[in-house]
Amino acid sequence: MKPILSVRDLTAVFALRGGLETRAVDGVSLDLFPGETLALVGESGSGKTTLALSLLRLIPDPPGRIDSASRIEFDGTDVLRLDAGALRRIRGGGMAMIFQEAGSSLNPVMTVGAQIAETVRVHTGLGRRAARGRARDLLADVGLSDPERLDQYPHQLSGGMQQRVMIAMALAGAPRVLIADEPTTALDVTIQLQVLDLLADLQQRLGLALLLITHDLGVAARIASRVAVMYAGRIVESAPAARVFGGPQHPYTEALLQAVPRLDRPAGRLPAIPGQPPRASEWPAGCRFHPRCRHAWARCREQEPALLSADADHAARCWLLAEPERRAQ
Amino acid sequence: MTRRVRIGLAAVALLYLIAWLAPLLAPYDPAAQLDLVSGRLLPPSLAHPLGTDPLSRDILSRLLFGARFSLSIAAVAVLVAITVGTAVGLVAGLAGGLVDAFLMRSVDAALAIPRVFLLIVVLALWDTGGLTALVLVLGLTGWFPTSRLVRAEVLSLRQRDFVLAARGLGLPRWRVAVRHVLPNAVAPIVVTATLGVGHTILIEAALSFLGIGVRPPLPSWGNMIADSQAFLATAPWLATVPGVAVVATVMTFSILGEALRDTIDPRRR
Repeated sequence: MKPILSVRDLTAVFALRGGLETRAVDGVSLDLFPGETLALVGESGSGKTTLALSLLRLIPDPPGRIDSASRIEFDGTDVLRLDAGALRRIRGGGMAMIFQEAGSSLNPVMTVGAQIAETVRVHTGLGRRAARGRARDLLADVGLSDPERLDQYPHQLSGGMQQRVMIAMALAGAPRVLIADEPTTALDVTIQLQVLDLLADLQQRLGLALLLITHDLGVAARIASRVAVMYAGRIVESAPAARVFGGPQHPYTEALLQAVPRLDRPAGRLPAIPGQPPRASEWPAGCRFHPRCRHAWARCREQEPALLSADADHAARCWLLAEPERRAQ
Repeated sequence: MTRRVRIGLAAVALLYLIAWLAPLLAPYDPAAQLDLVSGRLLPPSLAHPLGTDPLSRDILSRLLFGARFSLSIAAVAVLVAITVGTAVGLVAGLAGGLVDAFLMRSVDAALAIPRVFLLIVVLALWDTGGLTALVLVLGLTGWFPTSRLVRAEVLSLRQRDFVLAARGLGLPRWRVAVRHVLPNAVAPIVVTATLGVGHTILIEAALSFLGIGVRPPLPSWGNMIADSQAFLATAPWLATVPGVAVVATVMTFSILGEALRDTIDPRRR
């Protein structure tokens, strides 16, 4: 099967004061296939959101730009070389994005019905009446079947409902790829589950490819078919979800999993990863995780590993795959 | 809506109602010279509640018709100023880069020229333009601060998530500008328009006082004050009546503008 979205060597560069540059996303490659859910997991500052915005060419320029060696292909179209009109059709009509804070991602002075209908009209050319009808259907699709919601303003809705409206808006242009950037982070735990299940359900029903960006491994475990772990602007591990959670190959992934509280282990202090995640302006030389890695040896400090294959569909950016005997006990 | 806003709105509405009903309320024709022999400079009386002027015209009638001119000229001029200023500010804020730099440096340059001086020169040269010229020139010299205000507002709005979301969903730029950015900048625009009407009334009065605003025989508060200069000692009510009208009207707009700012302008909350 051909990927619907194919990213090669994506590098997002931000200009800093004094002529310095920072590579918030640094040479990321990934493929997203129709009907699958890929979870992109990582800490704050690892470049997840910048990656998501870059896919739709939404990073602020200046100071940001996408390096010319990068390639983003959506359904065979080179997104980075599209003119403004074609780019607009892809945005919302090919790939749509859901943001973390639904409350601030909705226009406070427009009713939710008008906002959804507007996106419908832009992408389908339907008339006012038909677009409103479509907005009503979309709201029903995301579990807001009460027709009076159409005429409410975002502030009249709860956080969970706002996120449902945002999802309805994202679906208005009938996209084939849905990019969800921390869609549940701002919500209560019970509402988180509802929204996740809604996303999984929509993904199944509409055959969407879902790129789910999260720092929450539980969220990834619940609905992802594949997981890519991001650290310091790079993908450090990529595999089917069960493999990542069952047998992580990168020490960073391993440490993240150990830091998740679990009911089946005695209560106690959770192991933490020592140190701080590096800043985008000063990625460490060699392996970017080495200052915080308990296995690190000389090679890790000098030379950065490529994504090494553990087997056909599991890769990790770690020298342990080449020299497993170096693993510290 | 707070009590202050309601009182301010009611007062402004009352002013416009009086101006609109001037033909019904005024006891005489404002331009009629009623009795040049014995009816000049009469003090207030039952027949002439505010007295008569040096040409024996009824001052109350002139005051009411003057309100028509002052209030409508200021309103239309501010409408012109707000429209142009909002358009320029929106374009500058959204386009950024060279367009923004060019527009804003031009505004800076225009602001460096004193507005009253500019008005006097243009109106003195264009003395056949009448009221249209007055309104246009007041409007076209009044939009500079609005454009800066709108630009600043747009610069902060365009960073907001819902603007990014709208762009991310493929809405055309003009639609994002007109439907998502602009409506969220309305509050400060309304405040500045309200304060602007009061300010414009003051400037219009000054220009009419100098004889290049509303010109005789049309009544305006400014030219009424000008007419009364020579009689300050003998007929002080002549200057006092239109003077009080100007002060009260400008204050009304200031009070409403300040109340609106405290209530609807998000930056003041």
